[in-house]
Amino acid sequence: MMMDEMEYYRRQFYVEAKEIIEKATEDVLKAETEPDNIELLNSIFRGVHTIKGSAGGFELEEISEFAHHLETLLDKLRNREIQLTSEIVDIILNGLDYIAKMIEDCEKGLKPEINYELIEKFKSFAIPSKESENIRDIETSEKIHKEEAISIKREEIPLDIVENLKDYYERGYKVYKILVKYTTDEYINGFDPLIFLKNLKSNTVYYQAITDISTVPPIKDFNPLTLYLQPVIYIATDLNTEEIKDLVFDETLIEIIDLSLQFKVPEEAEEFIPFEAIDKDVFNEFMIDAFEALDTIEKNILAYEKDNSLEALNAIFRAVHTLKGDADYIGLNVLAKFCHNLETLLERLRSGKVKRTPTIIDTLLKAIDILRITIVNLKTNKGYPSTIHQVESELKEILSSKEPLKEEPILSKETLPPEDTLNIFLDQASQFRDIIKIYLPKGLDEQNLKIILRALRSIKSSASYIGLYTLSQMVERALSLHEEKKIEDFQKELKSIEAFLEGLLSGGVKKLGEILLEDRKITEKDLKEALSKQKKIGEILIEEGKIKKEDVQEALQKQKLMETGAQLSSKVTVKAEEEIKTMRVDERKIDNLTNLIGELVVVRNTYEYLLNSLINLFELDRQFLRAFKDNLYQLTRLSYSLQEGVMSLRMIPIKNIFQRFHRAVRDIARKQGKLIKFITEGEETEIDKKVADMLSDPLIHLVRNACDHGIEPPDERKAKGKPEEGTVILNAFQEGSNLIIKIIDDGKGIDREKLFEKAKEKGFTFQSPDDPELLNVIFMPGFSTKEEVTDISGRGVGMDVVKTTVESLGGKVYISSEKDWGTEVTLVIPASIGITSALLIEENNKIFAIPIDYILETLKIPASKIRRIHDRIGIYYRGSILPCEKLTNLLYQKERTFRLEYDKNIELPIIVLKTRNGSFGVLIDKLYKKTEIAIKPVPETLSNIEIISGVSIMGDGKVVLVLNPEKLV
Amino acid sequence: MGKKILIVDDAASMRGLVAMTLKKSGYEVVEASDGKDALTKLSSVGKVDLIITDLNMPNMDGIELIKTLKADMKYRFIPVIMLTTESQEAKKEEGRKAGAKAWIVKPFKPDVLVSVVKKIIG
Repeated sequence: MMMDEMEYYRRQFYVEAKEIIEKATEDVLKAETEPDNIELLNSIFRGVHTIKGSAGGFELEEISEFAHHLETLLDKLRNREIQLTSEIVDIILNGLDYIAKMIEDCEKGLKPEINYELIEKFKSFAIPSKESENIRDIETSEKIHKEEAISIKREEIPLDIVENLKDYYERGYKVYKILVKYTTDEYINGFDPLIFLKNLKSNTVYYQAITDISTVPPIKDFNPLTLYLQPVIYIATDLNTEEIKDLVFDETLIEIIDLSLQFKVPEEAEEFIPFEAIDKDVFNEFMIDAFEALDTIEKNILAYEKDNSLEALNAIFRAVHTLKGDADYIGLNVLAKFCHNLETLLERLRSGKVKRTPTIIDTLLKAIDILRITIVNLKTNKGYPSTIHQVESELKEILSSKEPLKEEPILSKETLPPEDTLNIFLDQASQFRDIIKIYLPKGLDEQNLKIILRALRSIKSSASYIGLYTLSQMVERALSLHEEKKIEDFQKELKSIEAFLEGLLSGGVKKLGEILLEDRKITEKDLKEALSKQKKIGEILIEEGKIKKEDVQEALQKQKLMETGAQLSSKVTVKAEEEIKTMRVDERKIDNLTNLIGELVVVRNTYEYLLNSLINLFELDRQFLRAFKDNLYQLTRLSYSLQEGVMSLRMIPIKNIFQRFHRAVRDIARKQGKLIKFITEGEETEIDKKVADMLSDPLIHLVRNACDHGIEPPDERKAKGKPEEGTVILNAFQEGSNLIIKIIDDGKGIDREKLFEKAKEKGFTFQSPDDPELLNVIFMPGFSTKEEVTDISGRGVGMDVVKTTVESLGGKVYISSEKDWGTEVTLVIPASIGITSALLIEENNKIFAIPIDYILETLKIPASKIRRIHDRIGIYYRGSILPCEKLTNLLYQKERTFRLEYDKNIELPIIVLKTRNGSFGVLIDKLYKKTEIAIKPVPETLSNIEIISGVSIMGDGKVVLVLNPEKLV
Repeated sequence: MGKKILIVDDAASMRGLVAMTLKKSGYEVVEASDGKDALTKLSSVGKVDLIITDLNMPNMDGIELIKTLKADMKYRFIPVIMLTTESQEAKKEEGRKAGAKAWIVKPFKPDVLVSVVKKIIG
């Protein structure tokens, strides 16, 4: 039981792992073309990482181990220690393929074998090449330099511990080495070192004990009351030496060595306002806000790292910006300067001048850590930590590596800031408005006043940053009013600030004139006059000297903000609807459901049949009958909706199979030195999962063929005057009820002369190489024009298999090709299998069904209108001649009819069918009605009869054959 | 009534495996496919005794989930175990800071998982 359940989840893992590999393969190919896209490398790494972890959980150690080695290589890649070259892409793809193979082995119940040869390759590529070392940024080389400095004093501290300790030290923790000096005697007297170690551990963020176990004797000599181990412990902690000593019963039992000195960086001289000069209350308030801001920033950095979210970046920017303003305000200018640099970096990230890399993210996180530490240190009067300069220089390094660090330019009036800055400002503005709205009516006690004043200061700097000088002047006015203790005027000014913000945020977009009027730049009279002169209002007002150019510019800015705000609110509503959840369902369950629905439709048909019998046999009450019919109608509607729903469950976007082909094309291109552009179109087209599975192999064969036999090598193409890069297009689209898939290449095309000769050799005779039928011979089994089979095409699936597969789906394959112009193969697949509408007809006392899709029209025509035309009969149908035949003759392949033995006045039912070969009419005995039938596959014994495409069970339990009009004529 | 444990992992197979292990030890389990889903499940199931979550997941990752839980009066005392392939000290530290009770690195040993769970919720 246990085993079975485990196996079930294991199988689920196989499916998941294969999906991961497919996704990773796709990402690898993408990464090759976008070498700077770290996110792709991260994603590949995560995928393999997950496989490693899960495989281990399912006791698939071999896969786990193999994945581990691939993961190591990927880790180096994403950390930019090595560069992604075509060779590495190859080796990664091989690795992914191999994992897939191992999984397949497991599925078959075989024990997967580790490919050590590949692992060796991973390892050989994981060594950074000389060039890539040069590419490494200065930061890393600096690190190496420092490490060397440490190693001199490091004594015997293991390297990984040094790394970790250094890391923690840089984040502001204290690092110690602790020697434990308990003796056996003390141990016997109740001094258990373990208690101390436990205490110590729970007070550290990093704890590593190193023991020499060689001192422990074999078990027979082991004395439980002897202390054998004397561990050396490395910790990172908040505790100072005294506090550590408090943890132990007697401080002489341990020796504490402060390692901080080893990691210390020489201090730079920096002038800052002595911390004592800052008001404690103000600082505390700042601290609370700052911690909150830092939490937000940290969360958003992680979000930004994960999906490059602009929203997160904006949130970071906003918070840092506020922090900077606050710090500057209370006089922490070192901190403010630090934030300023951080802000500049963020700004570059937003504008795309600096790319998001793991190094950058690390630096950002480091910056946040150091800000936290700095604030804590300041709080406890310890002054600025030395590491802040180090991180700051790291920030500067990044900034200067791209372009010289410029002073942040004050926004010129000619250029309006980009939209996202506007978004941020709008966010802030709404906060400020709310603050004023909430706190002003509460009365201006000390607490509220503090909050409002702080908001005002922020508004002031933001407003002038964004170019809203009117607003910043209003705020300035308010601030000075407060200073002068003119409380009433101050409140009034606040009200007008609130109104200003309200106007900005109201969502509506105002006319320029209105804005100017509102901001008291012009009078109503000015506006009316200006409006009467059909010109741009701003220009007029400037011309007339009513206002300055700057005022118009500012009003324009305000207008833009309003527009942004209005857009923003509409965007938000759209976003909420986008989320789509998916769940994975066992395919068999859906198959089952499909079958059940088929049965349901049969039962519905039975219901209808029974109802009709009732009506025929008994005189039923009309009302009763109506209720019965209503009920039947409802049942019909429900079962068809149900059927449609289930069918849509089976549909997947064709993208899922198209995706795999990029890999195949790439492989061939690399192997044969060709340049191939592979384009997929109509990837969203939906296809039945089962059909997709069946088509996958034939399609890959066709794509391979196009690349291998179609596209010429670059020099050959050049000689022909074609672009060196060949193109292969895979296109899918819906046409009527059919799904069409085209594989188009601009390669050398099929040489008709050659094919003609070859066909002759194989015993097919054609009139000439121009015979339209000639191209179809390539679908014949065992037919190939290529002398030798390359190792790329011809992997067991030939063109004949393509044809057979497509035909087994009820579809068709067409090919057209021209020498030197390329080849186009078209697959036509009927979209729906399962339930279809069909017309029931009677012929020779037997009932048949014809799928409605093939029926153009049903007619009743007097026998006299049916004429003999050449060697057959036909009718004039809509201006042309429609050949006709009796169904019986078609079914039993009898001689064609020349003359009809009917009374000339009898009206004969004719069905006009439309097939690939054109239209024709079928004479039948009786027309029934249109009905929904569940088509089941033809039983194997009848499967050779092409004129039958399926069978269906009717309401009365009779079996009806479904005709295939394509094969009738 | 057995104790109820919420398992959060985006890989259904992993969820299944963990669920199987826990059920065998007499726990009741609820599954969720990512952090967001976990919150939805929590609001429908009500209280659970323990949450075991993966780190890297779409929509909302494990640490974010912990942070969200800690910020919610209803859920802040539910203990959380991280069960992930991630083994970096820095990440663990981040998890610890956020409030994770334990950190188990995948591939996990069933008995280790159960003993950790037992230690936390009995």
